[in-house]
Amino acid sequence: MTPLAVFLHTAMIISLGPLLAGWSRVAASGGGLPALMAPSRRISAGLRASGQPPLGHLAALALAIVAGLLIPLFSSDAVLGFLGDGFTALLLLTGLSARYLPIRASGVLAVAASLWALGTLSGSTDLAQALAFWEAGPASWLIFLGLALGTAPMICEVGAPPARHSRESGNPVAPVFTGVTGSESGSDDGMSPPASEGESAPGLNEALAAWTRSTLQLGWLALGMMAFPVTIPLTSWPTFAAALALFGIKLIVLGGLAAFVSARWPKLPLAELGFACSLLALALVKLGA
Amino acid sequence: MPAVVPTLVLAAGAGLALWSGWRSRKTPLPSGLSALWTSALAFALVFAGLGMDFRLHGMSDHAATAFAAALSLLAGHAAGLLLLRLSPGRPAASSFGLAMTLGLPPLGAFPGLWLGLQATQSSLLLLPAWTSLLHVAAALAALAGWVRAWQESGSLLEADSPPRTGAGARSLPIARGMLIALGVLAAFLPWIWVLPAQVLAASLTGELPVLLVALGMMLTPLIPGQASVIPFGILAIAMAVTSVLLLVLRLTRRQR
Repeated sequence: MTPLAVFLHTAMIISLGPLLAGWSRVAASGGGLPALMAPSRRISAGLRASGQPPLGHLAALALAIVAGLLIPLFSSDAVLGFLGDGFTALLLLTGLSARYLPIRASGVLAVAASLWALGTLSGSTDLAQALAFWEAGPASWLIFLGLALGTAPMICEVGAPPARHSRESGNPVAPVFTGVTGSESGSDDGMSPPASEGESAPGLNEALAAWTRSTLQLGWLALGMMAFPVTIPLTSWPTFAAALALFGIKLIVLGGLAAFVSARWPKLPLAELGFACSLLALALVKLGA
Repeated sequence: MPAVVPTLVLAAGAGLALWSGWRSRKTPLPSGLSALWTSALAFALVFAGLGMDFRLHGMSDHAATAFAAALSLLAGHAAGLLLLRLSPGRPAASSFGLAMTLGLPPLGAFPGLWLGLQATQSSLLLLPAWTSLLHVAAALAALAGWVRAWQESGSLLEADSPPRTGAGARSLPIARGMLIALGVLAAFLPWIWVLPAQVLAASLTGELPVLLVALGMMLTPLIPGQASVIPFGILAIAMAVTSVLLLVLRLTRRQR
């Protein structure tokens, strides 16, 4: 039963990303069912594009492995297994799309430092446990800001449409990532995805970018749910409605804030700011105690 | 061991990662393979430095974990790198090799990377403030190098190397097949990378008896209701070995 449940959970995690992207599109500009299904269609079309077998095969293989056996082997606790499964799926998608997305080293470092700070704050190496013991305070806010700003450039389409011109010739070739801070030299804003496949497979590039972005949005949603928890006993319909409303408010405030900052100040080095917040949180947790 | 040695090893790892990044900035299209192995070596050095510091503070078990992380990361990474080198012009195999090399979950270098990042968290929880912050700084530098190598590695899949000829060319498909089988099997059972590294690290730090007792407990389901995973692992290995043997027999019979 557990492997089946884990498999279904993974399938849900993977499919919810595109659906969430479609839902955002419907909420923003309407369009009904076609708009809801558009990201999923684009992803499947991109993965089926001719001349692109490796990523599709690799995705199928890795998904089968993750879904089938890895998590039950690692954890006998279903809840932890599901959490780990979700995070693994997220990492998997991020990994698959690394070439096609503006992955910045600062963003990765911000997330790593934030998670280390969170573990140190809660005294546990278990992420689920650390999130369960989340308490509001200066360090918690800094950790949250670090995660939010660090991932914002990947979640929100900053600087779109992407520029695909090399510095030297202006031809539509692969931009080159430079330096450990992850700034790219191939575009003015440094945020365009590397088009190393040239213009031959824009469908796949877009599909993978949309897939990863929407799955990261799902991860953001999960973080928003878990951060700053408020316990409401679900004893009646009004308390259930209150809990649901609180969830909605958190979703709008947290998600909207990141989108607003990215849209309002597109040149702001959000990932670097997030990294700075994470380092500050780490120093505060470790040296302030 | 002098107290300055771990710091030097950590600094060497961080420096190697940063140097690799700086070199990539200087030359727009550096060798993806070189970026990959440099970043893995940097990470291994950082985890080894972490282990040395744990040992200096009398925490042999954590030291063993950090050393095992370094060794298993190198093992998984090397297997992926070898597969990548053996698969020019074979997009599926080279993609799989690259995924193993980069530690795409749950492949290749991933278990070692995960163990090492956990060891960094343990350092933050257990070691003095400045020591652990130094560990975090070194791990962040290595992580930056890793991301940089990740960004560089895309060009490897597009490299169109000429096919090999001669006697070595005949053994290539078998070697490639065995590496893919090992990679897939290790994705189901990540301890294929971790266990030999753990045994080696534990014998270095004197933790081998503790490790053997822990392994013995895993072999028998002592806790009621909790199934042991080891018998399934042994079964899977036996099945995989049998299939590889059958494949080899079939290939050789066809040649005869």
